[in-house]
Amino acid sequence: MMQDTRVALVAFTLNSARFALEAACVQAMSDHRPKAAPAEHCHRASSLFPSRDEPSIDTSHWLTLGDDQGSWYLEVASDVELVNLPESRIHPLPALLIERRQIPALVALGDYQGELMALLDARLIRPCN
Amino acid sequence: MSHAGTSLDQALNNRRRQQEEVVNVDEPMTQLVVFSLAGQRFALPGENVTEILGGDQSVYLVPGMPASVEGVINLRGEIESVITLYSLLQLTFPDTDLPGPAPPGSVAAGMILMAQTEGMRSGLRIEQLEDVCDVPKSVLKPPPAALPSHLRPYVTGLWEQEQTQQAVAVLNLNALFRDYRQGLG
Repeated sequence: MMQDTRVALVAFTLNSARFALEAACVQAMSDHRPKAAPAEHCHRASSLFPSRDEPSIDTSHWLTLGDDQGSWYLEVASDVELVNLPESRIHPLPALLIERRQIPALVALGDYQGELMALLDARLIRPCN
Repeated sequence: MSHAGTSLDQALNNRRRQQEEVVNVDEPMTQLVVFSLAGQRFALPGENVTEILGGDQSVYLVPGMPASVEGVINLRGEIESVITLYSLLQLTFPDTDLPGPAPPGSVAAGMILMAQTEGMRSGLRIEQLEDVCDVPKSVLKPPPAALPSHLRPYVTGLWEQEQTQQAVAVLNLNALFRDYRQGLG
């Protein structure tokens, strides 16, 4: 029997919706804003995605994301969870939704514990500095 | 034994008429899936509808989508989009909890038609399934000149149901999907 390959994801909540990034793109996580981080490299998740309202949650985490252009920091105002999602529970975004998505980084949907997670391509959420 | 007399010509004419009637029965038919939206009746060709789902289907909200995207459903392990046509057809949005943003995994009123054209597939939220019927193609009338301009790109014909005396607008799914993909609705 073939084993279902798993994909490691870093999941967080924004406006009651679950989002996740590929864990391989997350270099570190901190409860505080990194001191050495330039302001232009720090961004709130809520500012990157269309949102109706900002949640008033005390919890805040800073994810260090990295790519060819270097590191930048994403603040998420929710608990952060590491999820190993079986490949069979990852679904490409339906064709019609690809053309109407307002978040270009939204590439797939994950079926996790009876809920749906919006899977983001971390390379596409880096804001222009 | 007496027989009512007739000429050969008359007999042949009678036979031809009977054959024409048989031909009429065999005239080209089309299947229509008739449904209602905002108090109006629409239909899709049966060839475009692969499945009709009941109202107990859970719909999951997808963030970052326009209001006309109700969400997605898990259909036997495949994720399928569910959209509404109110905006595209400029219909009044119902004052109920029908479509629109919903809690995760919630169940909305109405039904879902799984609609498919070449290369594109999606669920369409409908309020009520009215009928699935085979009708002769000849009874479909071309769209009238009085048809509102916003419906012209999408309506290929009108069918007047004998029982209800109501007109049913037959929709072109290709045109609906084409414009929806381009950001209309």
